[in-house]
Amino acid sequence: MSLRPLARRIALVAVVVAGLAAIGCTSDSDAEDEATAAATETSTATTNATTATTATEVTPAIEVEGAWARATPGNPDENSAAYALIHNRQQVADHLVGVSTVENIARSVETHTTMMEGDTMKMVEVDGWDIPAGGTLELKRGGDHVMFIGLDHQLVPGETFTLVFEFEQAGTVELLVEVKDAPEASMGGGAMGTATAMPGGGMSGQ
Amino acid sequence: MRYRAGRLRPLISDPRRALFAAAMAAVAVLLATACSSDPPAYASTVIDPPAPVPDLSLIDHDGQPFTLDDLRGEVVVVYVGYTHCPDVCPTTLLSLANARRALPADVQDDIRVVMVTADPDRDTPEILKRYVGYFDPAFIGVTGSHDEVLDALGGWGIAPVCGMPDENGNYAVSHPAVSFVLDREGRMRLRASHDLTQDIEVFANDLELVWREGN
Repeated sequence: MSLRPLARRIALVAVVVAGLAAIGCTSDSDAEDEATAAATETSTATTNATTATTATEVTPAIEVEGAWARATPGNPDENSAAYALIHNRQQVADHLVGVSTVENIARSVETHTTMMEGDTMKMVEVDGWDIPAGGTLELKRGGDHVMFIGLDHQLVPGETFTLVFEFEQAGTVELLVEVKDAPEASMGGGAMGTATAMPGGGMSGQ
Repeated sequence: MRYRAGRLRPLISDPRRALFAAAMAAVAVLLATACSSDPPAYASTVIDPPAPVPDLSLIDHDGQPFTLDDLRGEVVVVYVGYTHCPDVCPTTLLSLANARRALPADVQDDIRVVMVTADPDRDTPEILKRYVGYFDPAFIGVTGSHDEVLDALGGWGIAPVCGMPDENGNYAVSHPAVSFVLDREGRMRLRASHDLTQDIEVFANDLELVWREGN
């Protein structure tokens, strides 16, 4: 098991909690200043300084919703996957160029897609994904997904780790991801403030 | 019979039109009943008549000889996948487990899920045991030597293809995105797509229907 330093974990959780607390006090995140906007109303995503300098809007450049990673049975050298809804709130298209984890839980983290060829299911590595301005990228089971190759430990439901998305425009976005067996299983049970709902008009591109 | 003009009128005053309307109503009723029994009760693709399949004579996740013959009398769901599959296989196996659990206990007991590995080089009995057992301890993982597995799957028209290994030797394997349902006689009865098995209630109902066929 490789856990990142405790201090970092506490800091991350603190940011998330602060963000959630802020949501509790206001109904419109557009009015938030940059500090509170960093923790979005729907997710544990935090944008870093790179984003702050490139984005001129007050809203965060990237919002991530419903992120989760698949629990594993516990065999040696396992693979797994992560899924999320990634909203590009920028006026410009962006490209997700790479994914990694802060804790280095896997030998490599790749962007993959599952495709059908007739009745055959095939999985191929892709060069990230484009997200149109104001659009949404859906990473979901049986489709586009983040793939973890060679996990260093069994992913157990309830555990969390930090996913780092690298965007061409928005820079890096760090995100606390919870391990689950399925997305449904988590509804109502998320202790770390995982996504619950989007504001009505927020699902652009869906 | 008299009706007060302007207040109440018979719906259809002309006897011929009334007869015609009655006839149409009768036709409508017949059509409705025909339609209600007409669409196939199965959501999956039905193999009709059920087709015999070559046996899969391999080894199970305890290293013991495995044949489909030994499962005669049970409804068997055969899925071909591999344990390093991060996305589709675990999604399907979780759905199959949930579908089985959604059924009454007496039906559950007669439903057997068998995962045949598409990746015999990596999927040893021990690895398969842990893998399928994670989803449902009643599942059976099936493997064998490279040639044995590929021959057995070839008999079913399945030819898994391994992708290029990365620098650490990890590779993806293409495999059917289908769950095959065998009836109690061991004959192919249904083919269920990946998407279909995601609908737990629908697929559980299909399993129960196959189960009822033999009862």
